[in-house]
Amino acid sequence: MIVLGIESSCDETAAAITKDGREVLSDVIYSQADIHSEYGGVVPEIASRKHIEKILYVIDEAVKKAGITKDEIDAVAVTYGPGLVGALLVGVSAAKALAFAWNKPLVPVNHIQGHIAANYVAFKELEPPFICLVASGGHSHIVHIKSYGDFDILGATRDDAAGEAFDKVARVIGLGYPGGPKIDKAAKDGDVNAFNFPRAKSGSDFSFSGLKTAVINEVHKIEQRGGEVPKADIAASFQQAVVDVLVKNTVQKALETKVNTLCLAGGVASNSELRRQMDEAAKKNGLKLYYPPLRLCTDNAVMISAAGYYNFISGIKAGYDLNAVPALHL
Amino acid sequence: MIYNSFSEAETEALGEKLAEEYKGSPTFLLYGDLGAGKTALTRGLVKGYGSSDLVSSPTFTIVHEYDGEKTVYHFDLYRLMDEEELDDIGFEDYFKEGTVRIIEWPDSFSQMMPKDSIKVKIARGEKDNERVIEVIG
Repeated sequence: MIVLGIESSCDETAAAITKDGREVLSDVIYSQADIHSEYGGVVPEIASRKHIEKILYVIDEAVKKAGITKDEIDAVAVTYGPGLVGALLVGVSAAKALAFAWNKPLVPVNHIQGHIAANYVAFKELEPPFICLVASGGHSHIVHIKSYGDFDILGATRDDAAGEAFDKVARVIGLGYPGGPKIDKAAKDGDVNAFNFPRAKSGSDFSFSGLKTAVINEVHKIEQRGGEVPKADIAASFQQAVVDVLVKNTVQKALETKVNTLCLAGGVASNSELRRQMDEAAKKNGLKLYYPPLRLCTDNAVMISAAGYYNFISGIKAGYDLNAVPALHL
Repeated sequence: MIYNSFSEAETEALGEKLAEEYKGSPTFLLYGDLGAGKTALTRGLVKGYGSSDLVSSPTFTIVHEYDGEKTVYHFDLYRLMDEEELDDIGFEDYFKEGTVRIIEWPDSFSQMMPKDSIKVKIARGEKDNERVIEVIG
């Protein structure tokens, strides 16, 4: 079964086609690299109008690159939340129009569910049940995937998302954007024990706002004394505080639910220390760990197409009255 | 009006108090550095406007929406480059009668903010957790 997936929930405008939720036939993200030759280089932007300008192009490209005709597409899947309403509406409207014009079923997909499904594409043998840590700029969730259509949220962030904490700390110590990769890199030359930042947890949930504030207070103190901010040490100590909490909580949930497979998803899943230390913790506790390649960690439409396939075979379809839901829950 | 806060909880409580004070369709502009407590104040405001929704930072998604006695729109404009981008996210559509706007990082967009906005400036005090919060409007 061939599914066209469309994603426009935040910065990226993307379309992709997969077969049976596992095989990638095409994967188009409108980004500077992809489009440079054609449009002279445009960076991804937040504005919904920018999504409107790109959406038909990425869909066209996805169909073309897959080497199929529109008649071979069995369903149109689209992210309908969570995200920025104006951005989401562009993808939802395009998907509705195509589903109607082509007379194909329309399948709604939750963006977070999409991140999880990235693992199905990367690992053909992976099947539920498993525990997935979804951590990105906008989300931090530990999800128990009981079957393809049945999810339990075991923990979430009370305030800032993990990726957001990376971005903000990078901003404060002057590393720039995007913060995730910058901190990852800077931390390699730093001492994880240079600062003892708090590992905050409230029940089953995460909290990264306090950690962010602790880092800011530390930087503030150093600046007031006229000292030089040790960027690498702060990056390393901060990163370790985030990784500690993510690893500990995720492994604990796996042990509690007696599920022995773990997955990582979302942009933060590309953090090298998170991968390394989750690997170690998984081995120690006899758990199997999967994490997708970098391209599938950040926002893309392959994951939406794959999640759309599993929604479709679980009987989840939408009518033409499908609307964007900015605060959609899993 | 100037308030002193000595904890995140106090900042949150001030938010609740401000919600009681400002009826109608107010727009709050929040000024303050990272970690000043803008999200904590927002948590109080949202609670004060009758919503039990979980408040988290909208840095990535630009806008969060909370449902209560009044609908509250929570913006973080930090990532927006210019007024055109603010226009493009449909900023004007968020000004419905009887709704509330809380806007973090409005600094670059003062031209587009309503004249009767309530300005809340959060600055650091002497101690780590101390904040001086000025409310204008």
